[in-house]
Order: sequence, then structure tokens, then C-alpha cells
Amino acid sequence: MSTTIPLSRRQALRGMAMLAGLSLAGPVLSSCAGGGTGPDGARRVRLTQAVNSLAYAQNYIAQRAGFYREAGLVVETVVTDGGGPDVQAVLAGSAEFTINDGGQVVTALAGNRRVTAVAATFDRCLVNATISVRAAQRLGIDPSTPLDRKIAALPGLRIGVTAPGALTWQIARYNLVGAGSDPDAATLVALGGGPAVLAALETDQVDVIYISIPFGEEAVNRGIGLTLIDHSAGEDPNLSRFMMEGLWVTPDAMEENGNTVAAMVSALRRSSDFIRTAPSEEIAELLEPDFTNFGREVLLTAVERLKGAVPADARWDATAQATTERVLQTNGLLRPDAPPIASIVDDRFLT
Amino acid sequence: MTRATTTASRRKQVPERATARSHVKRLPIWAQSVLLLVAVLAVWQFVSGRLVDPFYLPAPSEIVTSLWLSAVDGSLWANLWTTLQETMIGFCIGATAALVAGVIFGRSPRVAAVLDPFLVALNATPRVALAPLFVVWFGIGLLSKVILVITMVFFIVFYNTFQGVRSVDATYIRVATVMGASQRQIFRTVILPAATPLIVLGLKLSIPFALIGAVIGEFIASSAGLGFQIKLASNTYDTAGTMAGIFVLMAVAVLIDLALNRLARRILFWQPESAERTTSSTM
Repeated sequence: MSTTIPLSRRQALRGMAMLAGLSLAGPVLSSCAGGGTGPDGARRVRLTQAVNSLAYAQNYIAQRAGFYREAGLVVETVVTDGGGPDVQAVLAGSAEFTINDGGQVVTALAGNRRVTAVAATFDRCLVNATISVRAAQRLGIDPSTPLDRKIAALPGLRIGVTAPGALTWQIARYNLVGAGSDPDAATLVALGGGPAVLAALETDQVDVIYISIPFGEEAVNRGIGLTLIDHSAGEDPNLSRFMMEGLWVTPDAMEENGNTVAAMVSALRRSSDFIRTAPSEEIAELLEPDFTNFGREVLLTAVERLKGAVPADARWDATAQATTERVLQTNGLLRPDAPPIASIVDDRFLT
Repeated sequence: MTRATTTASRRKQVPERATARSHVKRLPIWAQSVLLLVAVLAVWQFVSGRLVDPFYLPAPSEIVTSLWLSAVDGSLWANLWTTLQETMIGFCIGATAALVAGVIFGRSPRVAAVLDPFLVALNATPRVALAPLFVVWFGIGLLSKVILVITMVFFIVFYNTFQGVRSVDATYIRVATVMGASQRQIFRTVILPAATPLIVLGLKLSIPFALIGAVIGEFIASSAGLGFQIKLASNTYDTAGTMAGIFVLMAVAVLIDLALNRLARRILFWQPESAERTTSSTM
């Protein structure tokens, strides 16, 4: 014989709330957990990056060339369409890795919030400045114009960047300060992703764009722009070394999943070596499926520029760290309680 | 403690709680709102930094500091002015166009029937998705934001005006016609007053959407404005700055709403107080 236990209204409500909570928690928790091992024994990890750009070339190459697979990894890339959420996802534990620039990451760090760079993928600024042909003619600028004259022309121009606070914004402001101008007085227009920035230059809505390669190169190829400052070639000696892109992970994840971190570092280093040593045509061919909007010619030009920006030892030297710090300071983005940059770089996986 | 004493003490507590509740109820509505706000802020201030990392949820005091700093350096006012310009220009154009269209459609059932499917389709278009296209079509300046605001405001005001005009009791119109009133007189003295409560409702409902439209436009492409300020703060992990911008937007929406309420009270002076309150509370 069964006995019925009468439930009070409060107990019934509590039970219902618990059931609802449990039913919601399952899917939420499973969606948050990026890691795990798949049926094939490969380790599944989630990696974030701000946008689709050649600044993340190593990631595309590691996927396409099978370097991740050979390292026993299945990497899910999450593009967050702008800096910010990419780092926050790693800090919050919903992604294991982010490929990011030092300027973006260091801005997020303070107090107990830490992520560590375990490998550098680019150590030169890949954000180039491109001026519209019309603005260049108006200002009498051509490829042979000396750098200081080109930088001096920046104040007073309408400058297109991707987003306020993004690296493009930071570098533009850094150059404006270099021209002796108040960056707050300049017109920096946040336009969104690369295609929008390119469209704004084409329609003369801005005079200069700051954007990572190959968008500026595409403008040059279409005949609507001239490269104003080629940071990727180290034209500006103040930015010749920079914490451009690297692999970042939380210290906890580094301790707990050392093997996974080592595998990621190994795969990305293979990509870096590939960029440095393989013929440009071969690299461009591998990158082409991820950059279908660009012609082979533009990709080849961009790849040539990438080659000079890959550090052979996957490390950022002291100059790169100091430059990054200077850029952050110039833009007022270095928090007083931010950790010293040298303390957030760990090269234990590079040996 | 025995069960009897527990029950007795509970009985004693109940009237005390009831008295406290009745004290609160006796306070004016605004005082109750302020009390609730203070309680929420106090809990928030306590939780931030103790239970939740202030990086994710900054304390109200940090948000106020951030607001103060941006007010002192002038960036807040410059950005606020930009957003208000976009909002007000877009709102005025959108609302005026919607009022005219709503009246025409309300008075001409045939026109309404013919154009209804098109309006439904246009209204179903996600304006947020159109925002990047507006930037391409209308440029990165003021115009693209104004157009976005217009599209956000138009349909809300239009449907309310349309409904307001259509819902006028036919008996009143017939009586006015029998009394020899012209079409213009009927519109001015019968239709417009009857439709005004719904028109006012539409205008009030569309204010937050106008602000949202301006901010979305600034998110897509801008060099100034509250949307720009919020995005800058967000991209540089300044959560206090981000929330400060959001609070300014909320404050602006509330202030415009209050202004519209005052205006509505003047326009709807003939309406019974209770009905007016119902209209206000619906919003």
C-alpha cells in the first residue's frame, strides 16, 4: 500500500524550482565546458580569436595542414567579432586558449585575473596604415615620402579603425601621439570589421585606415589606397618589435592541462616554422580557403609580410614587451594594478 | 524552545510585519520607488567585491566614480549630446511620419488594406540587421543613425495611431455628421481627441527604441556618442564605464518619459485621472 505525503505549497514550489534549475543547469554546464576527450581519443579544446585575419595565420595553418590533429587535438575556433569577449571567455573558463595581442590581454589583467602567454606567434605589429589615393594626392604623399612627414600628416585626417579600444585604435592613437597631436582631438571612426573599414576608405568616408593585413593590401591592389605606414615591415622603428599575437592560457589551465598546452604550442610552432620556411605560394594556397575574398596576389603580398613578423624562437623579446607597455601607457590603458608584462610570459613549453 | 512558544512568538511577529508593511504602503509612490532603489543598490554594493568579482559586476560606487570622471573631463556631455541629437532628430521625423501615415491609413480603409501586407513585412525586418547596410547606404555620420532611429520609432507610433483612429466609436462620428460638422471638424473634435491616448502611448513606447536605435548605429560605426563610449569601455574591460554608459541611457529614457508624461497630462486634461494612470502604468 502506498502512502501519500502531503506537501506544503512552499515545499512544492521549492521542488519545482530545483527541478527547473537542474533541467537548465545540465545544458548550460555542458555548453560551457569546452574541453574533454572525443571518441577518437583526441583532446577537444576551444580557442578564441577576435576576428578573422591573417594575424591568426598559424591557427588556420594548423587546422588546414593537420598540425592540431597530429598533436592529438581537435580545436574549435570561436571568433568573437571584436576584442574583449575573446579574453573574457578564457578568464571565465569557457574557452581554454586565446590567440591575442599583448595590448588587448594586458588591459584585461588586474588583481587576481591572470592569463599567461605561452608562445608568441607574431612579434611585429601587423596593423598597417593605408591612405586613400585622393587624400594622398591632396597631401602630396607618395611611397617615397619620409615616415616623419607621413606621421605628421595624420592629425586632421579622418581615421578609420575597427573598434574603440581595439589594437587598430591603439596603434592609430600611438602614431598620432608620435605626430605631437592629442589623440582625443583626432577623428577616429570605429567602423567594425575589415570589410567595413575597407568600404569606408573606398567611399571616401575616411582618409586613412588602420587595419591588420591583408585589408590594406587589398586597398592598394584595387588602386584605392597607398600604404602609409607599413608596420608589418618594421617601417616605424618605434613599433619594430611588438607583442602582436601569441597563445594565452590561464595559469590554472597551464598547471592542470600541461600536456594540452604543450600540444597546442607545438602545433602553432610548426605553423610558425611553416610560414618562415615554406614558399609563399604554398602558404597562400593553404590560407586561401579562409580568405576567399582576397585574390592570390594580395595573399602573396600579405604572406611575404607575415614571414618577417614570425619570431623563430616563439618568444617576445624585451623590446617587444617594452613597446607594448609604451603603447598601452600612451592610450591610458595600463591599469595601475596590472601585473608587469614580464610576469605574464612563460616559456616553459618552448624548450 | 517548545512548539507552543515558537507559535506564540510567530503570532507576535506577524502583526509587527503587517505594521511595517502598512507603514511602507503609506509612503508616497515615489518614496517607495526610492526605497526599493536604495535597497537594490545596497545589496549590489555589498555583493560586488565580496561575492562577485568587480571585474564582472562593479560596485555602484565605482560606476558613480566612472560617471563623475567622464562628466569632469567632458566626454560624457559630448557623447550624450551626440546621441541625443541622433535620437531626437530621428524620433521627431519618425513620429511625425508615423502620425501622418497612421491617420491616413486609419481614415482610408482601402489604402490600409492594400498596403497592410507591405507594412507587416517591413515591420518584421530586423532593424539591427539592417544597421550595417544603413552605414553603407547613408555613410558613417549622423544620417545613418537618424535613419535607424526612424525605422525603430515609425512602426510603434504608426500602429498605435492607426489603431487609435480606427477605434473611434462610429456613433460619435455619425452624431457629429448629423449635427453638420465638416470632415475637418470631425477629425479635429472627435477623431483626434479619441485617438490621442493611443498616440501618446505609441510615442512613449517608442522613446526607448529611439535611444536603442541611436546606440546600435553608434556601435556599428561612429566616432562619438554614448554607444561609442560604451563600446570603448567594454573593449578595454572597463566594466564600470560600460555600466555607467548604460545607466546614462536609462536615465535619459526615464527623463524623456517623464517629460512626455507631463505633456500627456496637459493634452489629455479631459481624460479621467484613473484612465490616465492606467495609460501611464501600461507604459
